[in-house]
Amino acid sequence: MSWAAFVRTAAPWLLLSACRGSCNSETAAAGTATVVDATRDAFSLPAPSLTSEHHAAFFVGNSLFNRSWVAAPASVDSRDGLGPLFNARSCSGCHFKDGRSRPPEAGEPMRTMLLRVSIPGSGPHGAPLPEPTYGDQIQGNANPGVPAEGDVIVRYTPIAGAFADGQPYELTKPEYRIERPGYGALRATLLMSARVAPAIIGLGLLEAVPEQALREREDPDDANQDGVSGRANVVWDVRRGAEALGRFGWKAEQPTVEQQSAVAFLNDLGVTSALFPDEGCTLAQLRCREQPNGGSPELSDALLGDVVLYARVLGVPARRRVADAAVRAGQTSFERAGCSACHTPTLRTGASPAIPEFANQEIHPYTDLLLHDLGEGLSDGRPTFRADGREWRTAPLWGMGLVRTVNEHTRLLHDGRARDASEAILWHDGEARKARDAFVHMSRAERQALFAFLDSL
Amino acid sequence: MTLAAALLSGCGRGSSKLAPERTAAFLVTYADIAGAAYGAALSDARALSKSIDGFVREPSAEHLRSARAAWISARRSYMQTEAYRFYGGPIDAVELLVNTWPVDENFLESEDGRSGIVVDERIFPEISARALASSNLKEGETSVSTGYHAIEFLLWGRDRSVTGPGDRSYHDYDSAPHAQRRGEYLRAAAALLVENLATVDAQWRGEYRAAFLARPADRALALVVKGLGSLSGGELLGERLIVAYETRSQENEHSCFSDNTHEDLRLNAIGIQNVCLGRYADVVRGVGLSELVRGVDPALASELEQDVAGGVAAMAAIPAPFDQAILGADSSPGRLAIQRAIQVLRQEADAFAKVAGKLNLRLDPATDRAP
Repeated sequence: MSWAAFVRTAAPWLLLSACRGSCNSETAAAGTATVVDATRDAFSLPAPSLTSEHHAAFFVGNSLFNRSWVAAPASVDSRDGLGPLFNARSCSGCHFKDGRSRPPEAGEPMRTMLLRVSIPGSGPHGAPLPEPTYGDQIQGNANPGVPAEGDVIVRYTPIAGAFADGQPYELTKPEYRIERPGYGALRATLLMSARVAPAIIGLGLLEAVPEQALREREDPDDANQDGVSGRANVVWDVRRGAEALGRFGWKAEQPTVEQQSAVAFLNDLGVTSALFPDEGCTLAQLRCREQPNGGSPELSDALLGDVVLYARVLGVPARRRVADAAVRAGQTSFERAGCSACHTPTLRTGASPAIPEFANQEIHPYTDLLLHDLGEGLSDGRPTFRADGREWRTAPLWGMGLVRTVNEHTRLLHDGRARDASEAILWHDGEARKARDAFVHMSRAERQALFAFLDSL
Repeated sequence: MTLAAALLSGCGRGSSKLAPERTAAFLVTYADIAGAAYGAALSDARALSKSIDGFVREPSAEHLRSARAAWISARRSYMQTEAYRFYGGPIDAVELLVNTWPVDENFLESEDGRSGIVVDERIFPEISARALASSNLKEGETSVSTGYHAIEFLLWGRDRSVTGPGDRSYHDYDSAPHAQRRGEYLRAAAALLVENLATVDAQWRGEYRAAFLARPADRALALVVKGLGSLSGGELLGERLIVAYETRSQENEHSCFSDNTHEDLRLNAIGIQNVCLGRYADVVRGVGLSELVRGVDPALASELEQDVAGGVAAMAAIPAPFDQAILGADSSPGRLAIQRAIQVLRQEADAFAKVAGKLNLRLDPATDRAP
């Protein structure tokens, strides 16, 4: 029995004694990949079920995830290759403590989230068409001698509303503008989509859910007439050179943890890899194209492999207070309101060739990984493969109650506009309108119970 | 029988016959050690701060030597306190400001001297303890601007030597560019370290100590063992040994500027042993974790003592400097010693898991978190 295995077994045992077995599996959010920790390290621990080789590789990947990259050439050549254009110097710059990032304070430039940009139309395989001069996203940082692309500034407009019981609420709708554009005016038809960095727990488990199991949940024509349709995104798998089901990213635009990681290295850090060997400089960005690189590619296959392993095997924290009356009541409300139609409580992993330790686990991610129309209020108007502007991938809810502890904020949704769970629910529309309306009609006590449930995740 | 099987069959629960007075005495000893160890760390940090003030006021080779010696001495006491991390205790509230590593030295001062907090008056107009605290980790987990390792960089500089540590000149604090800001930075970082350790020390002498001792004994014990196991089987084994061993990279060395890593490791192991034996230097003599275990399972108690002593010995056997020990063939003496330490720590961490099972300890994520 290893220390890590103890950390796993200790929790179910606790709950067995606390609630007679029935809440055992509910506490174990992610099967044998559940970790019992509610401190600032809650998102940063290896799944306890890892083999000792994977356990060792986890720590190596962690060091790569945390470390800052520098511009080439540098004396430490294993970590040169940053830029020429970039958003952050390290993965942990946005995924701090492997958690979720937040929008900037009013008037401050974006640092830990980013703005995707494109123009109408679609590129090969249905990807968004990059803005011709600026590319796929605004990178506010650049190496010496290269103009940065500009500062993204967010401004919020308040929207007043009220719950059915009369209690008022206020939402804040973001608008983005790009100040000091480094390469001239952007296209007038520019499409923008702001994205915070999500927590990266349990990704290997989500990757191991069989495609068939996700497909079975699709209901594109709403045949069962529950108002919820749901469909898979179909995206381009660069390694296989084929279409594949999208699982990761706010619009399910990436098929694998590997591709998601390699794309982030390229676009967010300016670090090339075998999957994406060319720097993200557009034809118009001459100074960017003239810069020395840190090797071809800058991130070796071995190092990419270590980071991908790390991102796959971060454990998921056990739920807290599952036996509390409020939490139980909130869980019932969550289901009755219809939230669980998309925020699916339970999935099962399949064979899991990448991480055999994750095979055949019952997991509780509270997502179906499918796209759902969330209405005009959340629309970014920016089609991404099969996802239209209004469609978003159901965000996993596991770990959400610990973001406050780990990242010291409670911002939610793809652009972090919601300041807490209540606002996030209130933004839901489209397929989620019925669930949102149910929430609006809850009593104050019912709403508090619902938040207690969400906090227990 | 595995721990899981023991727990599920119920024999784990039945065999837990801890005498309440003995357990209480252990917990008091544990809190006493915390008070003494953090007290020493605080007093050594104050001495470091004082020495740094003297050096910055009057930079000289001799004063730089004294400041470095004060840093090494401050590490001797602080490293023994790390057994008290990882369960949301007082240190965990400030640890990111105290001992974060590895430091991306470019965040403080780039190699070409053109960017970083020390030189960039535009982005970092103010150098103060407050300003350093608010820039800490702003660009990721290695953009460290505070704590022991930022101070270490300011005292030693980059280590490019194969035989010794970094050799920053004291002229960096009188005639070199940005000397004044560098000096202000060093003083502010030392003052902030003192301030943070003072809060931890105060907690373990007052409020937190009382709250800790008021917890149900098994809940307090669970924290103790979680702290020990996490240091041993996570931080030390994984972050401080495996990463450096696998990558052979100095950037993954704990105290990479001063070449003090071998001592850091050894003193961490001693910190673990202090709790197991219920003693701290010649200041505390009480009931140790192994004595507590002995009342339930004498064989396991002996195993624990052996494994923990083995940890100290294995760490002490790693040759200095650590940045050279990780290089070369796997059969080199340095890499063999580190490989051996990795094995020993795995065994030590597993011993803590056995103790947790034998004492029927359970982690409750709802309450075992920051107070």
